[in-house]
Amino acid sequence: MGRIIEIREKGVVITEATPQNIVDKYIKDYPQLNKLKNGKKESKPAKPDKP
Amino acid sequence: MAFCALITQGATYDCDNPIVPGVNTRLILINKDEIATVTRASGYVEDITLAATKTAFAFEGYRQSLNPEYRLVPAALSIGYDHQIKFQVFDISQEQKANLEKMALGRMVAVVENMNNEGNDDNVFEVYGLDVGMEITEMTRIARDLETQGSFSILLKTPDEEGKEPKMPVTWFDTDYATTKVLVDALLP
Repeated sequence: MGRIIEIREKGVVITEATPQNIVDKYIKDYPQLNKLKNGKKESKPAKPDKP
Repeated sequence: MAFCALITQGATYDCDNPIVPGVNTRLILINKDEIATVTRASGYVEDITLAATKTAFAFEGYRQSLNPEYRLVPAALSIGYDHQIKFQVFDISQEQKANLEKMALGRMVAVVENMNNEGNDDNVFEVYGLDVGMEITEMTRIARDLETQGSFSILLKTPDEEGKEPKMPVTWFDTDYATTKVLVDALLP
């Protein structure tokens, strides 16, 4: 499952599959949408190395 | 059977980093309506931002004054989860009474910090009430009560009159404990 950003104020859910023109509409007010460009997170984040 | 009804892993017991019961007694409450964005990835919450000028609020406690719980609520054709937070407010000022009267009318989201231990970075912060929100269902203050020191005893809970939370409290995690804590603390004034 990729990254999902819910813009609750607008009632909008943006995913990595959302067309760029829609993302561009909101990206000025919600800079966290830039995270969608950082690639998908397919699995659980790795745990820190144990000593 | 729906694909989402099939489990995909077992569970092990981590002998080096066993689960630790308990929570940090600082409770962070957010007005649900003031959440601007929620970023989710791989089932985790990565970040929560609030509307401009809005903040979350910390309620400090001590010893066992904060008690979060959640449980499955099965029904014939659906399942859901009840989230609840029992906590004390050790402030009986008129300003706090007015604040709690507002809380009684609103709907809350809570961030709770589980006891942290090495190797447990991604299981520390949990967000209660993120989708439905929680309402006050009990609030009492017994002035002579020695156990509560006459503080307010408050129960926030998923409302019975509406749909239940669709998921357990979501774990808030980004990169590591320190990074996540910065994001959580950024909600506060």
